[in-house]
Amino acid sequence: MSLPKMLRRGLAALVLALVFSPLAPAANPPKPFARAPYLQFASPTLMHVVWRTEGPIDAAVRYGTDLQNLDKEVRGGAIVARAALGAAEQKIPPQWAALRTPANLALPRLHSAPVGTFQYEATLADLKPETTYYYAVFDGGKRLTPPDASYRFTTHPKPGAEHAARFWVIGDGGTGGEAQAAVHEAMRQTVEREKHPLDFWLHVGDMAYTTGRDVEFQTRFFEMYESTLRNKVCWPAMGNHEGFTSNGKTGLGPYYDAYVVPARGETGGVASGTEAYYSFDFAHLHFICLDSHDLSRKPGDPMASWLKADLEKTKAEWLIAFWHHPPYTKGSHDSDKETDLTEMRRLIMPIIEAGGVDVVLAGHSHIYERSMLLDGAYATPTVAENVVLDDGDGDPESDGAYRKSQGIHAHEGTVQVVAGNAGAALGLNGTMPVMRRIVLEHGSVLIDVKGDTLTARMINREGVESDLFSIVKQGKVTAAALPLPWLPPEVKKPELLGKTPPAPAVDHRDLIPPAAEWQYTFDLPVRGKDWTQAGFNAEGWKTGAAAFGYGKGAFRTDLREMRRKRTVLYARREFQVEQTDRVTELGLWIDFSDAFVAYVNGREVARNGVGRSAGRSAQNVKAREQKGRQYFALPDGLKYLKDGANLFTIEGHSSSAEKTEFLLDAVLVAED
Amino acid sequence: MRATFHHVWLAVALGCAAPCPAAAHEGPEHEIEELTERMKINGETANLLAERAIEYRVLGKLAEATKDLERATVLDPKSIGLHRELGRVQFLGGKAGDALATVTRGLTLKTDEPADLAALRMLRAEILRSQNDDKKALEDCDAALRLHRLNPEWYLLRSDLHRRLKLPKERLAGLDDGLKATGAGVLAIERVEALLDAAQFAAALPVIESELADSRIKSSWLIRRARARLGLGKKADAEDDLKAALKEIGTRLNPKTPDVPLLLDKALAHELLGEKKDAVRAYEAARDKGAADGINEKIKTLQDPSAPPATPAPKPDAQP
Repeated sequence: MSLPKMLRRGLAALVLALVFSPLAPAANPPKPFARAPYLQFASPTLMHVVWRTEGPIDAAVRYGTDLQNLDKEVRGGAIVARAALGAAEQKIPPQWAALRTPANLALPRLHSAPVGTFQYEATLADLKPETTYYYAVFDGGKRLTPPDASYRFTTHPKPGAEHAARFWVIGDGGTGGEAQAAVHEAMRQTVEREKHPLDFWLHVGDMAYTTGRDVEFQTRFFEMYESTLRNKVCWPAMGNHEGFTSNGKTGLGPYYDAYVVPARGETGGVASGTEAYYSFDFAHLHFICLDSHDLSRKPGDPMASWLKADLEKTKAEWLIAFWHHPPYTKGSHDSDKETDLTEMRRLIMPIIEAGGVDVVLAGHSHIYERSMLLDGAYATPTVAENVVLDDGDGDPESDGAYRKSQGIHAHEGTVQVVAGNAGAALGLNGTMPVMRRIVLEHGSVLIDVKGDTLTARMINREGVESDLFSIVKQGKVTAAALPLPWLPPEVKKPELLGKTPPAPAVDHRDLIPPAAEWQYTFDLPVRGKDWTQAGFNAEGWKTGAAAFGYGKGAFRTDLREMRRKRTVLYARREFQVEQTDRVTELGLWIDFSDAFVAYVNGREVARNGVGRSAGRSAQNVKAREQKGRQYFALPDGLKYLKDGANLFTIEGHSSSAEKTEFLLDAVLVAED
Repeated sequence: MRATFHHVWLAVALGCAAPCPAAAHEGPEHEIEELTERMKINGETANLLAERAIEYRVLGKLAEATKDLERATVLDPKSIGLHRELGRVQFLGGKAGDALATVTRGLTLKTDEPADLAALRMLRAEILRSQNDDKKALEDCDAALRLHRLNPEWYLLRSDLHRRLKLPKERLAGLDDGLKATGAGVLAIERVEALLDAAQFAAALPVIESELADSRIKSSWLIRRARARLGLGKKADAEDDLKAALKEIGTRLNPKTPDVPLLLDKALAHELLGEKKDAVRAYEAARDKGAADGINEKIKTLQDPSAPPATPAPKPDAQP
């Protein structure tokens, strides 16, 4: 990476740090929290405040309508505690070993959280509807949150009340990357500019890549959205990536640790009895969240039966359903080919449409796609003929808003929104014929409901509106499917799409920094793999700073002697990791010519351009055509990390001793 | 969860081919290609095989998924999660015997998370039920619910087994347990069904009335009230309910693409009205749209001229 680019990156990281904690201490999460306070499910009279600390505290939340006078308090039994205390056979850091008391071990357990983590979930009850409260977290008498107006919440209006609502919808954002941060910031700027705050937000899943581990939740979700999480409730749907470590049948795992959702109908709707799927009311809106990942979707099975019962009961004016796997998409996923998606369409959508749902929000597919007004499009492959009720664009300024009868009525049309574009690399597999808008941009969706009108806008990462549609519910509308509706033009996959160069996370740290000193050799006989091991005697190896090379370019260690004699450079460097269980991703940020094989603690973790074998025996070494730095995630390297000293070794190969250029410039990075 | 499946999945999902941004993927076919390539270079691991199996399953390629998971369980024989996934895929693929063997093997493994074992037992219960071995299935259900009490789905499965085994008292008691543990609305509905099945019509009626008063869409509860009224000898009232239910269903059914729960309600309403042909037509439509296995039996009974009228009627078997 060129210096200017590095500077830009550094500046971007600095800007992000400032953006994300404008009113809080710079550290994220702010000390003494292991996870900063955030809001969970709300009702007209309820709110939940959740946070984590390292080690236990005497937890309390004080709150009130006056920031200067937090006159109410919850503590004790109204606060649920959970803990990560490790397993009996696990090596427990000394400071936490004493916490393995019978009382603490009886607490519900946190899954994959660092040992010593305590989570507190405070239920604030008997609140007034539509009222703004301020809150503060305490440890006994010691205030842990600053006296800051951003620690606040507003309770829901009463169910059925006509009340304007604004909510944010995102999906597939949890990369910890720059796009995710930009999408969040674009929403914040829009809301600020319009002076119209969110009431709450929905996440349609894939919030903690790659596997939904606790540490991934922390760094790629909680820290990325902290400023919004502390005063707006996020209502979640589980994505397939969270599903790697969390299980809908048992309700256990980091996803279920992170969220508190209404399983007993506390916020309206029929009690689901599980946190895997649930519903809630906000004024005259009813929201339904399904688990499209790991539960049966079949009619008669529990989730579909609950969905039917919930739709039978609600008396809201607007029905909005959300889940992860989209019934219609040709983005990075194809709903005509993948069973999870076809089943949502074939088995769930008929119940949804017979129940009169207005909008379905999903993610999974890394794209923004938005349908026309649809009904009965359950066939595979999806066709537009006879399933589109209105083939206009839904824009009041253009073809006009979609129109439905006042109230809730079966089969008057649903708009499908795929909002899987909040951070992950975008993808496109084709053109879904029922879509009206297909946008290959990172972004998110802002939805406003006021009276009889719902308006949804896709706001891209630059803060520009990339789509807008409205639904108006007035009088009596007779819906009829169009035999030959509008068809979207075929969307061509841009050349670079899907080839977006991977890069380290915005908040990465260097384990082996640029220009670090390495032990290296190219002229000693290096046999086998002993040189990749920590105990190897590197006698005779030289010491030099990266970058290593010869030919064009500036090198801190010039290897011109290597030319025409050797084709392999071997390099070793120790690095430290304090707590491996806090590392989310290990990565190699490297410029090289032509090929390399890399090892962590003696185990191969990456290779590029070397066909088979390694070292002197390497075969099929290819010349590298690409220029510049490239990022390689090292998932295997993560497995081989250990607390304390670790060893990174790398062999750089030239495809020919006759080549006039050689380069090896490696930076090892981690994301916590 | 620890030290079992999720250890595997953790590594599995991290094992994307380098270079690879954490989130970048272009669908399951692409993932399969990448994973296959990785295995060519680095050799097979349980993690990579399991990851590829998920992608095969998503594409409906159950034979390929099964093969990968079989190999994965050989490479990582101590993973409960892998055994559960293999058992599930084998069961989905119609190999109930193999699934049973896999799950039974998985149950011998050690874990510090009781819910993992409970989930495995429930899978075995499902498999056993599919083989009509209801008694053994019930034993597994009971054992699973002792290990983990918070899944409404498992109480429903047990209720179905109690129904099949004609254990009405146990069914109601089990549902009461489930309601206490989870509060799930589907268990409250199932409890009303259990009361009706047990001919406790008077006990069911107040609950039904309360639900009817509180529902926007009433047809399901009208049909339940009709069952109760038929049981109490109030035939005319029951017929009024059934006709009202059919009228409401008519406004909600999309004739070209009807949804299964509504078709089942429609079928039952016709059946209770003695309109056998209409009932059969609706059951057949529900079956063709993916309704439960028990539908064929129901159709057969309705088509049998010697069969007695359905008063009071059993509920349609909604469990596939």
